[in-house]
Amino acid sequence: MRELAREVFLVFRRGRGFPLSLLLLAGAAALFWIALQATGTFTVNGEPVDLDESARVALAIGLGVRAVSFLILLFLLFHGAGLVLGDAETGRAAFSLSAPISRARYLAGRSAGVLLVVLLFWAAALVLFEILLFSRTGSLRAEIAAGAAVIVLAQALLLGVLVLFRLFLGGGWGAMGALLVWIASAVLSLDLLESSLFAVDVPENVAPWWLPILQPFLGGEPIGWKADLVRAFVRLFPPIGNATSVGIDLALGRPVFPSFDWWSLPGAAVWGGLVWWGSIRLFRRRDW
Amino acid sequence: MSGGGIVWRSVSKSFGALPALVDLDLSVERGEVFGFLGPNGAGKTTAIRIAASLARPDRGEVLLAGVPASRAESRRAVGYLPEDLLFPSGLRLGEWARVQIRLRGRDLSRLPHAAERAGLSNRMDGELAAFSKGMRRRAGLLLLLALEPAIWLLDEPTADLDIAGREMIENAIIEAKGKGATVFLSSHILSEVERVCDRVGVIEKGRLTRAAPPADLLPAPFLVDLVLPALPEQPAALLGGRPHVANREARRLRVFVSDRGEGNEVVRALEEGGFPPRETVFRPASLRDALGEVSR
Repeated sequence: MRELAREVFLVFRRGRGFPLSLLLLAGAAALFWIALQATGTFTVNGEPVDLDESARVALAIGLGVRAVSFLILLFLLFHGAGLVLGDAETGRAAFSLSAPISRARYLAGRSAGVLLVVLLFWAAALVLFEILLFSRTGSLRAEIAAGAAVIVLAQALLLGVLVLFRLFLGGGWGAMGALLVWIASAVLSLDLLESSLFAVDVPENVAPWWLPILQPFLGGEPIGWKADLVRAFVRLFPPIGNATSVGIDLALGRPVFPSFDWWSLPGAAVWGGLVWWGSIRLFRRRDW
Repeated sequence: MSGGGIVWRSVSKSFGALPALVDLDLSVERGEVFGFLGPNGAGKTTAIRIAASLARPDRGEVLLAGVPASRAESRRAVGYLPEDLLFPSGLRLGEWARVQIRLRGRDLSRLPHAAERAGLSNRMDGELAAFSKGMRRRAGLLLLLALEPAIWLLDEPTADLDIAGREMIENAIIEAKGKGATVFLSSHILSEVERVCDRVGVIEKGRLTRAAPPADLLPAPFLVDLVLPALPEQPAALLGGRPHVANREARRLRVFVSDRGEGNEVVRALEEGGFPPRETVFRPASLRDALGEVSR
């Protein structure tokens, strides 16, 4: 498996993806730097906005982390699933697939290679951010790494969705389908949307008998059974966007809000398991 | 190098409505070199790909050294050389070979020697993407030599190779057989099959029609190759039922005979029937004469 991951890394390193990634990384760092500089000069109606230093830094980190996670989304959409499956689809992997390894290990090895690339991308971005932060504020922020670690979980799930859709629908349609899943998940994770959905309140006395049983698993305070069901649905939907939001909150060093978004992480893990299970089944049943 | 044979047990495979293999029952014994012959699209590649576990049969199974090919451990014994050998983009020969050897849990000790034998020891740092088709095939051979598998699955191994390359592959096959390996190869090159194979199978439209040692596939050991002014309507009647291949466009008749005396009888019979040959060649028969029509 390690060999397959290494092969993916070598293919990426020598292909067009590498210079493109460097360019994207430079773009993310530039955006972070501009944000760090610009947050001191914000004005509303010509009046300077009163932001203290920590708020400015948090704003810049938020923009930078969002930029990196979005760029990795592009990388995964256009390159990542191809790195996992491309060689098998084009017959270039005939030698590897005739080796005494299971199809599951083949997929795992190749996906591990892509996630290694994603991790390196994040690591490079974090180093750049910390250098820029240190030059601006004279201090470092460990929270950014914690946030990035959580976002990588969401990105592993997205890669699984991409591989599954590509196996099921083919290259272009697969990427389109995965993008739609990501957009839907991101929309559902929006705090505003959640707030408006959860505002549908019903008096507790008309709630069904089973609600108290479910309540501990739903998280948060009871806000009415219909709203609780909507909340559960939001959490059960492939929570790529939710997990990314949690990661960004962590990177900003602020409490994860709303608190029940923590439930996105086990949700992401469960969905990741299902998606990868489906991918392996499709991969095993196909002729290569 | 030790291991078992290959067994296709009632294997069928279709691509949509098109049957590629129909109830293929075939056993290749341990240490045997088996050649698979047939026209394009007859099912040769499908049979090999199922054995290499790159395709799943609709029915039946393939056993490699007694283990179903669908199980990963069965492939431990297998070295597979595909017809159209492609490599992951961006890799160098040495990197690719090392990855493949490690994937099979083998050590790299035989790699330098294998590279030398495949004539690639000075190309190990070369980008695979820049390799010609013949070079890519040599790279495949390099891997087989480094792995020394017990079962070789070769899909048209000498296609697109120059004479030296063909000789290299033929020698490798003969050497592998000498070490007890089982070799299954498909080919269009009948002379090569005749030289290296212990047994030959003929597949047409997915069905195995014949399987025998090359000499047993010949109707007779010799042949009279004749060019006539015109071909008789019913050659069999003039030839006394002797096996023959008629090519009307070239006005050519090839008649299988047991010796020169019988060849002379054939010529006389044609002369007496009003078809005196313009050219006559008497020579040993080959698989190409017997199976030419199925291998073209």
